[in-house]
Amino acid sequence: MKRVALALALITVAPRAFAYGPDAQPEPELEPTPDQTAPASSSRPLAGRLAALASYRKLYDLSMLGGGIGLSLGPQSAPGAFMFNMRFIDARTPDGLVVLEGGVNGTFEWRFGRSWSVGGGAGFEAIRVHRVTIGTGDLFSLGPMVLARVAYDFGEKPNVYVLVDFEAQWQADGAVPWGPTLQVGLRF
Amino acid sequence: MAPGWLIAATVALMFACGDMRQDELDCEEAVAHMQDCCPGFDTRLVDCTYVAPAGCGTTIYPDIPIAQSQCIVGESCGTLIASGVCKRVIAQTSREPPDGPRSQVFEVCP
Repeated sequence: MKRVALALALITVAPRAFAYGPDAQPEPELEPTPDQTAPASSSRPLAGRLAALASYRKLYDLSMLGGGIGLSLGPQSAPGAFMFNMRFIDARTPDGLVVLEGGVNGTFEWRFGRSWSVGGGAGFEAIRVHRVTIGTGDLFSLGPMVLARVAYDFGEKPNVYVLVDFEAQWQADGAVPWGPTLQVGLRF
Repeated sequence: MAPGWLIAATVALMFACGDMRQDELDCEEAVAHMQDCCPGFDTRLVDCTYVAPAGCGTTIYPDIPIAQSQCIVGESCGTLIASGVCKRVIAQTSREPPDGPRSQVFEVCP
């Protein structure tokens, strides 16, 4: 019985003793995978942005200033990224009419260097203007939109970024709200 | 054969729906301006709604036409009071028009 126990102990301990002994060979290093050699900014399958927004819109002869939030998500490849964007903006006219704007769009952004991205996209945007009169219902419109985009990233992900969209919407009754939207937020 | 993007853009444009007329928007902005400038002005006595004709019915336009709205918005509060615009607006909204409140058309500015 003692012999059996001794044999088992040797079988268990011997390989470890060999591995950690003075003659032990280091394990061969694995070849780095393509993902490990690529820059961090192009290795992630899913990228995103979370932002605070500031907007200026011209609608007919009225101008509107607003602020809001935005979220973008999408797959990222080496040349750029397709992003699904959604946002909500609370704006005011010069005399205080409340204008709510929200929408979704898809964009593709090409990367230039480590920091700059340029792109464009299209989507749908809804606008609601609260009446101050006795009129029934608010002014509401839903329509398509197009945008051009320039973004600048400060460093590698996760990083702070600045982005400007210049966009035009096609709303009901021939209304064409247009103007820039500034984003400042976190890219992850 | 039209390119795909042109067909897609055309279809997308057809999706614009709702209500965003300039006369309604300008009217609401003018009323908001007078609310700030004219003490005693009751915004509930103005209707900025556009009503499209149904069948043989008549079209109903906002109480304040575009030119009047733009005139009102373009004046400062001091000017609206000094020029008597506020007084005329309040006088017009305080009397009941003979054929109902939706027939009033504001001609108060300048």
